[in-house]
Amino acid sequence: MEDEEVIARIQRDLDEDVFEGRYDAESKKKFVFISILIAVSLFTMLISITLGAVDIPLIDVINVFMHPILPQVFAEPSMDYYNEFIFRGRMPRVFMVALTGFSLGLAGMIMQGLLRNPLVSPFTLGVSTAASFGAALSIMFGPILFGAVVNLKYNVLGVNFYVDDLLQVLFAFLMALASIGIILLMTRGKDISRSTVILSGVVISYLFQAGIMACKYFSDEDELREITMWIMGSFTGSTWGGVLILVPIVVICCIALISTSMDINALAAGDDVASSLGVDVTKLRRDGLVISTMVTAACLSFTGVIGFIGLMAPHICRMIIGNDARYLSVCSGLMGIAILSLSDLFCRLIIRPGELPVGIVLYIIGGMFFVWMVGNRRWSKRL
Amino acid sequence: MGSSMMKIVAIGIVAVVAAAGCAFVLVNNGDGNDGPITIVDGSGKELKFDSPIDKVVTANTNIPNAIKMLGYNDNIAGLSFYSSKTDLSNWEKFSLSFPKAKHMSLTKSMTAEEIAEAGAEAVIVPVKSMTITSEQEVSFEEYGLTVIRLDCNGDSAIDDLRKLITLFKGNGATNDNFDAYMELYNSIVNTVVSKAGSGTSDKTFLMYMSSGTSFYNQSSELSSIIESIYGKNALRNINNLDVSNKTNAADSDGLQENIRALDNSDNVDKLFIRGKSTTNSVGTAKTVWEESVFAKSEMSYGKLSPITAGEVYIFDSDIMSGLLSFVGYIAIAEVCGIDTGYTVSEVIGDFNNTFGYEESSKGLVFKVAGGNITDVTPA
Amino acid sequence: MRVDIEDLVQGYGNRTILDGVSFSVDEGEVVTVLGPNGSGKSTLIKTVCRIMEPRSGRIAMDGKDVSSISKEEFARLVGYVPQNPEFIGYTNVYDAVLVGRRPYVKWNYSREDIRMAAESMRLMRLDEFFDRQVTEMSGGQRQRVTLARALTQDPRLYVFDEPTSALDLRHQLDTLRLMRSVIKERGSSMIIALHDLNLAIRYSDKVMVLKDGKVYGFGSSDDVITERMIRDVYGVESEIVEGKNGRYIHAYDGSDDDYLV
Repeated sequence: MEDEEVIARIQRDLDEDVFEGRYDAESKKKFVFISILIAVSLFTMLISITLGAVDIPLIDVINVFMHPILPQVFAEPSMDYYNEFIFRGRMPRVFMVALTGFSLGLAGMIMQGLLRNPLVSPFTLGVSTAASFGAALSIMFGPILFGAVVNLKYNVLGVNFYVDDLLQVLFAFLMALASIGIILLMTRGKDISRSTVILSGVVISYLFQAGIMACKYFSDEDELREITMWIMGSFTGSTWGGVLILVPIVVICCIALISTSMDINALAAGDDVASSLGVDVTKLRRDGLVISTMVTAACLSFTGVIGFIGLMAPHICRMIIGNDARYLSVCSGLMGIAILSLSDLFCRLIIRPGELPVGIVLYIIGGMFFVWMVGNRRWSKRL
Repeated sequence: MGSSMMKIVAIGIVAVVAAAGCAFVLVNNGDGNDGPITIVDGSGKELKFDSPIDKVVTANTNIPNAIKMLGYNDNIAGLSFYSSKTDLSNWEKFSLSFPKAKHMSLTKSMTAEEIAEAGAEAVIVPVKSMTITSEQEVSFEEYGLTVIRLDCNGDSAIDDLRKLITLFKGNGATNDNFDAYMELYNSIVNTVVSKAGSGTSDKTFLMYMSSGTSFYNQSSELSSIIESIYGKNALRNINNLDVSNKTNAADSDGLQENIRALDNSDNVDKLFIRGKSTTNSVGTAKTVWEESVFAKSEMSYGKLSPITAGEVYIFDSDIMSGLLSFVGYIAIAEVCGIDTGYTVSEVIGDFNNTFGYEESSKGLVFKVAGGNITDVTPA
Repeated sequence: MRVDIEDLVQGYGNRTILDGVSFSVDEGEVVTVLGPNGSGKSTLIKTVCRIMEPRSGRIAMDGKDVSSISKEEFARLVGYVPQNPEFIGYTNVYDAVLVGRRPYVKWNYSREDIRMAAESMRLMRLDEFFDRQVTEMSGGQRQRVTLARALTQDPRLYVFDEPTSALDLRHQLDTLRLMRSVIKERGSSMIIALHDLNLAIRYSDKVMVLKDGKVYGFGSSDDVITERMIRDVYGVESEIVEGKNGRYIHAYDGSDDDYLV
């Protein structure tokens, strides 16, 4: 008898060791993937600084950064405008891409987790349409109300920062906030069912879309073109001023979202089970949706509508590292950066010196991705 | 009615018609044949009419301006404008010259019934910009109205004037105003171009359009006009620039970088800016400058050599194309240091007197130097 | 842990589902909740788990009223296993099981957490399914995953809603036997809703029968599960037979030559 017990206990310990071992191996795999993503993102960001309408040789890129620090070792860059291109044009752009890519990827993943629906993206609640409406309003009526285009210049620690066309950014953001407000109103009460949320988003989209159509109808040629260009989204003209405003918003919101990972893991087992595991489902859903939409709105206000990252990035990552939100959240954000930087780089190079709006490329890739996703056996079962 | 009554009415009608006919003849001599006419409109469509047309509805401002110049004011049955913001002010301005015209709905909202009710048999609208939709065109034509697309502006301005003459007066008709205008135009342009000479072929310029936030490239007529007077368009030196459109978006990072790099190796000599038609004072010119890409957050544009050298000129859009484009020639030449021998106020004064306009000769050209804007309209 | 439920009232909108339900569960006891569809079993389960707050009534655990306990704290006391487990895509088994430790964990799973998950997987015989995706598994396998999660959560009270409905016969018996031994070993208690009366007889310490939101009977299975109860509550004629291994129920629809079950 005793022997049997001992054997059983040893067997048990072995099994548990195996489990632990496999778990650690899985975790390691996930870390590796995240590291790869970080490397890809950094590499793309570096290339984005080097390549462009005017290619800057790698030596000069290094010189631009290192010359002010170690003038004896590193020469001056061969053209004086390299400094400007890198510090005033490409760096803010690269940072804006990183901030937007991460926010959208993460927000998409959180929303898919909260609403337990793979078709959901940060735009499901209508935020992109609302922001577009705000931008259209500012294009049509901004100059009339305020006399001219309002550019913001502010000073931090003795350095000037600029935000071009502040009105456009503000209006877009305010309208987006309004859409969040409407969602909160429509989903008041104790039980926010997932379908209520999604339907509210659809309604809001239609509402603001009507507003956009009205603006387009009453606009003249130039305004119409401006509105259309805004909706296509682009990173042209990104400024440090914009980046500086976005960084705290993005950092705070993203940390808040990532910290809900364990709750989202619980939510994957169903609202009831999550509740029994100690998750306040209603609060989580409401807060999560608001923060995701807020960070999306902040980014969109500067860049225009950047579609599909929020939908694609989480899906791709999920296929590779599974559904554990602690890894998936960070991964989706990083994947968002990777996809967006590659797309933006492509848009800047393909018809240089001209530039494609990044929205076009994303919609093409996104559309194809969507078709694949719906056609894929695995997914269509679940849709 | 009895037969004698009939005769009196018939004679009465004939008398009236004869009187009217004489009045017509007095104002517009040189009618062409009354036979069938054919023109090709601005969209390339061939239009045939049995006889010269009588009443039309027009869209936007260039077309009624051209018709007014030709003296065919009475042929306009209705005026329609594009933008709700300027509809009333335009109507106020134009209705003075066209007392018989009705104020039509906004261009995009016009209906066939409305046009017919105004008594018109055709509409004349711009070819591509600020014009009716294709759905409207189809519905007008189904109703029996003819849609004639003419810009009366830019490259085709003079050809369009000729087409208008044919449309209203028949094949081979002449128009004294037109002839006088062409003489004025050609003599001024030829003089300016010949005085300019070719000594500036190594200079470069950039031509910027404020309303579209873009640069005119070498395939645009405005660029060609400038090149006939001064230097070459700097954009020619950018490889692979897409010139299928006449303009290129100025706020694209790629173009900014190329222009900056180009300017660094071969300084651009002059920056010309086409303002709006409301750019007629230092204040409005300032707005144009502040809204331009050059005033935006110190990116590459702020350091362009024409800006640091103070060689930036803003032009009222009205003299850049359309009927007053010959003034543009003079203005460009003068700011480039060429003595054309003309004074703008005289030239415009003549124009006003001859054709019954009231164009201002002030506030047409502004110079930007060191952030200050001054009116440099050649006197 | 001892659980006392007193005068529980619950409803949706105007409808009252539970009308004053009282019963108790001692430490180490398995109490089965029986009743036809619509009698309020699921509502009772959800109310006990505080997924829904009761309209009135008292739930006490080890004498303490639970309304004063935080949700997190409560999650360490009570574990819930639903009837139809939901999962979203690409969740694999080990993640689904590990999440049971959420009430004890801020961000990272400790070695102890992992060990507990490992043990649960072993008990529910899910070892070979370690990184399989839950959505690609059969209904029965999914239920075992959910049970493993509850085991990992290690609550003082397990509350199960039809946990074995999708399992095959062998696994049904195994699972119930396993759960009984687990709670005896760990000193927990269990409330389990079942349809199968025979299973209830085999595996319960006590039985509580719900009819129309009220307690029809509460006590040992011998006392409560009678032919009369079956007729009153289920509207079915039956015959309870003493077999070699205990009592079992033959139910039939009233005509002489028809045997169901």
